[in-house]
Formats: sequence, C-alpha cells, structure tokens
Amino acid sequence: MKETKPDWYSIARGGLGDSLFTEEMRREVGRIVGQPRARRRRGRWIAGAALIALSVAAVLLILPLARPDSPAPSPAVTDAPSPVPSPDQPLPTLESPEPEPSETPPPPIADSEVRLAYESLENHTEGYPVETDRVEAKRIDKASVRIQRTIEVEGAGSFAIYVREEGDSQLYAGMEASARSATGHRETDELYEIGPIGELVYADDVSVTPSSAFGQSGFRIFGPCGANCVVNVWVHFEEETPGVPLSDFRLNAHAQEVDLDEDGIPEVIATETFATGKVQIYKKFEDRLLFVDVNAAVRAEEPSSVVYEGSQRIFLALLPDRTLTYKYGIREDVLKLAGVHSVETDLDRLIAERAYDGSESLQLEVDGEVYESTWFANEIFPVGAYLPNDGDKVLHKMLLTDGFTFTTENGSALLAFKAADEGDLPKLRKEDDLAMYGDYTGTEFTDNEPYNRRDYFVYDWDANRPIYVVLQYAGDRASDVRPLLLAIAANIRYVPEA
Amino acid sequence: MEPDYLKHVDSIDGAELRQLMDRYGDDVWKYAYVLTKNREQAKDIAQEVFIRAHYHIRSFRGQSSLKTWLLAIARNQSLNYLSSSYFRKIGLRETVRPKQSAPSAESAYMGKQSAEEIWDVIFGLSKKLREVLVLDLEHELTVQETAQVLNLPAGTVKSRLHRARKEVEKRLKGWEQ
Repeated sequence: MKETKPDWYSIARGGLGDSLFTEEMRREVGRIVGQPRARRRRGRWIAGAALIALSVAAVLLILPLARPDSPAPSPAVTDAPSPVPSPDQPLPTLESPEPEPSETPPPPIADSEVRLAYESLENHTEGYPVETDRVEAKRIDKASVRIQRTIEVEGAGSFAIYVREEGDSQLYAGMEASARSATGHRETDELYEIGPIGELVYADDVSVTPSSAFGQSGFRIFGPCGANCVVNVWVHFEEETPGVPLSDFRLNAHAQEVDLDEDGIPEVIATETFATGKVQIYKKFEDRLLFVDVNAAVRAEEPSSVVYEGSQRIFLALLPDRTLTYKYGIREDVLKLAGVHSVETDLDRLIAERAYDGSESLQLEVDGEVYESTWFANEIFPVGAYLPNDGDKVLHKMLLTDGFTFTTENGSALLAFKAADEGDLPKLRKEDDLAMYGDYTGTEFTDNEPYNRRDYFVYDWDANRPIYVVLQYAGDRASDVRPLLLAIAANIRYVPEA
Repeated sequence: MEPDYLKHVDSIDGAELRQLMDRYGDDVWKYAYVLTKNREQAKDIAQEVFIRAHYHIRSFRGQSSLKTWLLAIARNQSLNYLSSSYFRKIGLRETVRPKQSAPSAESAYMGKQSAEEIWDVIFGLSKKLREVLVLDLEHELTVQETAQVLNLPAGTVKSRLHRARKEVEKRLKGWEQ
C-alpha cells in the first residue's frame, strides 16, 4: 500500500508489547513436535478432559453458594438508598463501614405544607428578573442589520439573530416579516424586531422553541448574555395584529415550563444562579400573571438556596444544616414537604450536590482572580464541570473521556472521575491540608514525578452510584496549582436524567 | 529464513522451527490476540500455529510470504477458537478494556497514553475492521498480502481498511479539543 499511513500508526505500532512469544513457549513447541504425533494428541485429549472435569467440579462447588437460602456476600452497591449520615455519624470512608440506618425519625424541623401566596408583579418591579410590559415587534429593514444566524421554526417561519451595526456585541432577535400573496405567504425585505437576546459571542447558543406557557401558544427565544446571564423572551401572535410577534413576558433567568399543579396549563419556573440559587414561579390566574418567591416561601433566603429538579418535579431548599424536599400540590398552590435530610455540619464538603441548571458559563474566582469558565458535560458519568476558558491564565486544556487536564503557568493538573465500584482504591492517607473537607477520602502519593499527588473526593450525587473525583498535580507545587483545581471541583454539577 | 528456502521442503527440523518462532512468534501471537482478545488463548494458538507449521510445511508453496502463511494459520485457529461453543460460553475470561473515544485522563496526563489508548480503540472495532487494520498497522502487510490472509478481494481489503482508520480517528477525536 503506497498511501501515507496515518500519524497515529507510529504511536500504536508495537503497543501490544515485545517478546510475547516467550522462550518457555518455544521450548513447549519444541517438546511437542519432538513427540510422536499420536502420543501428543492423546496427551492433549487427556489434558482437555482434565480441564473439563476440573471446570465441572468447580461449577458444582460454586453452585451451592448461589442458592437463595445461602447468605450472599454483601454487594458493594445495593438498590437501597444509603442512609444519610447525621453529624454524629462519620461519612463512610474506606476504613469505616457504612453507618447503620437510624431507627429514630428526625424531629420535625419544617412545616409539612407551605401555602404559596402568589403576588402581583406590580409591587415588585425591582429585585426580580422579569419584565411583563407588552412589546409589539417593530418592522425594520432587513438590510439595516447584520444577520448572524437564521433559525427556521416549522409552522412559524424564520427567526433572524443579528447585531444592529458592525462591531456591536448586542444580539437581537427578529422574525422575518412575510406578506400575503396569491400563492400564500412570501418573504419580504423586512424583519419584525423582537428585542435583545444576548451577546454576539453566544450567537450559536440562541434557540427558539415552541411554548405553551400559561396556556398560550407561541415561542420562547433563549440566548446567553454572559456568565450567569441568560435571556428568555416569549412571543405570541394575536388576531388583531396578524403576523406581528408580541411579547409580554421576558425573564433574565433560566426558565422551565412545567405544569406544576397538573391543571393542564404550564407555569414558568425561573431560576437565578449566582452564589445562591433563587427560584420564582410565575402563574396565570385567569388573565393576571402572578408570581411567588419560593426562597421566601420556604424560608431559604441567602445564604440558603432553592433549586428545582425537573426530573423529579421537586424543589430542594438547601439550608445550612439540612436539605428540604418539597413537591407541588395537585390542583392546589402548596408545597408539600417530602423529605428532610441532615447535612454533615462538622465538616464542609468541597463538592456540593448540585444539579446542572443549564448555565453554560460561570465565573470561578480563585485568589482574587476571575476565570471565565464554560460548562462541559462528562462523556461517561452524568456530571460535568465549568472549565476555565483558554487564555492568558489557562494555557491549554484537554478534554478526556474520564476528565480533563489543564496547564497554567503554575504547572499542570488533572481532574478525573472514577466510578466508586471501579476496582479497589489505592492505599490512601488523609493529609492535613485537605482534612477540612468532609468528602475528602484521602491522598495517594505515586512514583509519577513530578505529578505525584492524587487526592480523592467522594461525590455522592446519587447514593446508589457515588463516584470519586480525583485531583492530580505536583505535590510540591500544591499551593500554586491546586486552588484552581479545587474551585473547579467545587462547582461540579450532576446532570439529572431527563 | 526466506520463503524460497522452505518452498518445496517436506519437513523442517528443530533448529529451523526455532528460527521461525524467533522471527514470527510475536507476529503470530499478536494477531491471535487481536482476534481472540484473550492472552492465554493467544499463547495457545501461537504455539499451535508453529506446531502446525512444523507438520504442514510441505503445503507451503511460496505463493505467499511465510509470514502471511503463518498469519493465515493463526487466523484459522483463532476463528476455530471463537466459534467453539465451549469457549463462547465459558472461555472468555479476559475482559478487554471498554472502547473509549478519548484517552483516559490519567494516562494522557502522564504522556504515556498513546499506544495503549489507540489499542483500546482498535479493540473496540468489529472483528472485520480490526483484523484488516492490524494486518496493515502492526504486521505491515500489503493489500495483496492482507487479501491472501483474509481470503478476500483486494478491493474489499482497501475499503475495510479505509473504514477502520476512519472509525479509529473518529473515536480518537477528543484528543486535541
């Protein structure tokens, strides 16, 4: 074959090893061919028969152990949820067995029901990321703007994502204006300008999806506008102004449309994610749009957080000492307490059990330096992390199947995910410099100079499927490279199953 | 030891067999391993190949290279092994690492990933693609020689080789993100 071989051939060639056909094997071949043939074959039959006999004997020996009435060895992972350790119970470690479940139920520490008092937005123009003034899209000349993207939406037409002037960074969303003709609708040279929809650098992330929020058919346009900043604009059409997009609900927050009370009409849950999670629910009562601040309702205001878990339809109030789980009532505006979990208070965890809320970016602050970071989901595990963007501070990063590496001027580091049942862990030792973290399992020192230190943290995102987060770096440069590594680890999120 | 030397011989002695094993033993072992994914079985098959070569050298007529001839025997032995119901049920004790589309974090970090990771990907390919790729990559056979080992038309070998390379590259893409 005369063609050029791929580059990776030279890397792979010889990768299976050398001297595989050993001297012992050569001698064995020589011994066999030195024997008369009939004897050799008989010998192999005898050896084969002996092997089968041994196998049958082994199976017979093993079978009784598998009988249902025999005590089975304890599985490493069971289907039963692991008990949540109380402050008196140390976290499970390699050295200590799982704590026994407590026989005493926890004392009542929260109202079993929280009645939601929806309010008008009129009295809360400040402090919430919502706009409800009615905006009718204006017709503009298509040639007057710089279109970056066009999004075709079946049954609605084309949405244009554009900047107004060359050099602008403010993105706008518009809709192609059409005109009636004898053969139906035809395109015109004009756009209906709907309004700002984010920043130019995120043009590829803008999306338009059908919406039935509040029982009204229309579309939702989503666009990021920076770290922790997103825009959602709902548009609909009215008979009086055919073809003209109208907007009377916009959020500067992540949004989920969910029929919380199961009355057939989806509400909108807004989530703000800065240092703490804030959640509001927007709901229409006849023609009036009202809202409720869930943080205030469940008394989980700063520094506590509230998170809505769409996959389980639950609200989590993350308080300093416990996590409360609430479910929305069916056909009633109440949050019903569904669970209380104590939180280890003796030691802070490095990695909080937080669900990914859809934020594409985050600012990691390390020793006064801000690292603009972007979300990357892991390929193997349903988790992900915000990784610093390449730039002056992060010289290079590489995504890997089970994690990623990055290099700064202070050196290289690695963060890898490892299934807790993926073989035995090495011998770990608790180091004083990480002992303040409750989820720190221990450290391994290896011969891989200079990157000889591996710190293991257990991440119980799912009690049945815990994983280890492994940080690796040069032990003698821990103070240089580790702070950023810890900041990344602290912002790991799990991705709830759809 | 050149094929011409053995082209019309009826038998080979112990010293000649030893030379064959010295020269081609690793090749035969590797090919058997790539096909069976089982080290112990590859060891047995490789020994069996040379035992057969010893007894059947007269069937070697020099139409192919000696290496190709040995690899073809290794292939037949491996396929026999794979089709044996006994081994299908209980014989595959060795688990080859799962296929990955990017190098593992630890190995990439240490800069020693490459060969191991590429082989992981190769082992994740179907047998059809895997064997043609390995004959090209590791054994450096020509398309014609590969076609002889596999008893396939050269055109089929070329197209499988193309597909195999593409598939490996697709799975290795994550390297330089």
